[in-house]
Amino acid sequence: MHRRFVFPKNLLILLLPCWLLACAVPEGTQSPARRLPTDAEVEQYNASVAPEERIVCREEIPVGSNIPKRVCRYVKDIEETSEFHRAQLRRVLN
Amino acid sequence: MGTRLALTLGLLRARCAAFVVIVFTCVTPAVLSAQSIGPDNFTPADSEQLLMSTRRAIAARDYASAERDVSAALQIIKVNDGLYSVSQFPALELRVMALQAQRNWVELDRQFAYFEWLLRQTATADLDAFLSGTEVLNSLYLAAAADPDCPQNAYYLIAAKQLSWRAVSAIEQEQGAESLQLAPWLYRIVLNHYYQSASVSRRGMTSFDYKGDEAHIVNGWSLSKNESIAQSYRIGLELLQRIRHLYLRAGHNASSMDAQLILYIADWERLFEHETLALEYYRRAWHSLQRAEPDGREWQESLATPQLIPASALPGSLPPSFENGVKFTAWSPVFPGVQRPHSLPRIDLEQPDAFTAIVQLTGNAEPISARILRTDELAAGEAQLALQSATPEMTPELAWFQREVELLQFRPAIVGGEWATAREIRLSYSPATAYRPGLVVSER
Repeated sequence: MHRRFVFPKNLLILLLPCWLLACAVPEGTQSPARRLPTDAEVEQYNASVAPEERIVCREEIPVGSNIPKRVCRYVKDIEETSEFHRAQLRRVLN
Repeated sequence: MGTRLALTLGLLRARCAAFVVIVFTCVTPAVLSAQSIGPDNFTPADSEQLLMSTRRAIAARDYASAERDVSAALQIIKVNDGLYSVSQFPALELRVMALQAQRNWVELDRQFAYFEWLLRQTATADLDAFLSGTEVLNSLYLAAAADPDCPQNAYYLIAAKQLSWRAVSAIEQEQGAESLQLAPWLYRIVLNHYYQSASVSRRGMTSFDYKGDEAHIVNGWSLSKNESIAQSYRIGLELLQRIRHLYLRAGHNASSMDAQLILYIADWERLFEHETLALEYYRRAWHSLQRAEPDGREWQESLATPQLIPASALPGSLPPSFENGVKFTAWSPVFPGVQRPHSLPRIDLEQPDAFTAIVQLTGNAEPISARILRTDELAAGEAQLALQSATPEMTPELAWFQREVELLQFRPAIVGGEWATAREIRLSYSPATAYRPGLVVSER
């Protein structure tokens, strides 16, 4: 007669947090490509590129959240977005 | 009739010939001697003489003559050494100094642009020449940024910083990211951020995110005062830690150098009013100095005297003692409370009647601060600001002097690893310009 092995419930409860922790990705192991540049790195980069290629990073609080998030954008994208918004506003006002 | 005509023609020819002879014999030597007076574009030695006369003219404040002579010198250098020659650097430096002294900002800007272009041509060919030229141009930018009459102070300050970053990039490219040669350039950038924060904290919102190379401030992402100061703090801290890492990699972990760099980090925290963090770093530095060789003990003793911060250069020799006091030379009204950098070109733009004063400050400084006490506390009798001597014999208005001195920032006295109450600070103060009663000083 075969005896079926039943995993003890208490052991499951003990091991569950360990499995969850194992799935978490420690901060330091993120690939360098995904890490946002520091302020110093941004400055060094901006000093060596053409003005339209420069980037600006700042802390922004997204809508619906209280947690500031670091966001980096190209200066040319900021200008294009600003110009688009200004055009929209002019269209609405006129 | 024909004979008379022939005679007349003959006389006419003779007079013409005589006239030509006279002209040839008299005018030609004058022309030749006139040509020999001016510099010869093909004689390199003339450029040296012109540079010497330029320096003399600058010393005599004859800036128009200086500009004329140095322009001629530049022409000779370009003809003999080439358009991309780095031997232009000394002449360009003198030319920029002459233009700034004449307040010719348009031409000054052009010269800066030309200098930058020349550096770009040099960058890949000769790293040492590039760094040497970058150092010169950096100093010139800072001198222009500090000039109260300059219409583009912030622009030149940022330009100096970007120049330093390009030097860092060039060194990294050639020698790698762990080269110790990076350290002094990184520290220049740290000081630049200190100048920025000193200016911003006293002048309000300033746009430091130029979107282009335009001289005027472009609209858009202007950082607020607090954002700008916070950013300068973060960058300065990151660079100081990077400098420490460079020295540790080079094997300085057991020496007083590492402890001194920890002191610099502590100073940086203090400059931005993070007193708890500063105290923690000061303690760590003190204990590191106990173990440091070879001059750790001497450094520990020197910490018993408050020192002005930030230091103007990376740690090296022991700080100079000034009869148990400190010496301060103000840089510019544009950067209140900031010590004049050592690397500035020697342009005598200051007023001739600048003075120094030795001031003895007595009283109880706060246990975590070496700041000068305020005027109201002076009135309560808790402390005295006693002017001991001043040369020339002038008595500055006490309130003005009090405000100037309050802008200074000190590393507190550290004894036994803890901050000690400062009893007396003897301060030798040289203002940037002549003292004028009623001078408006920007408040914090």
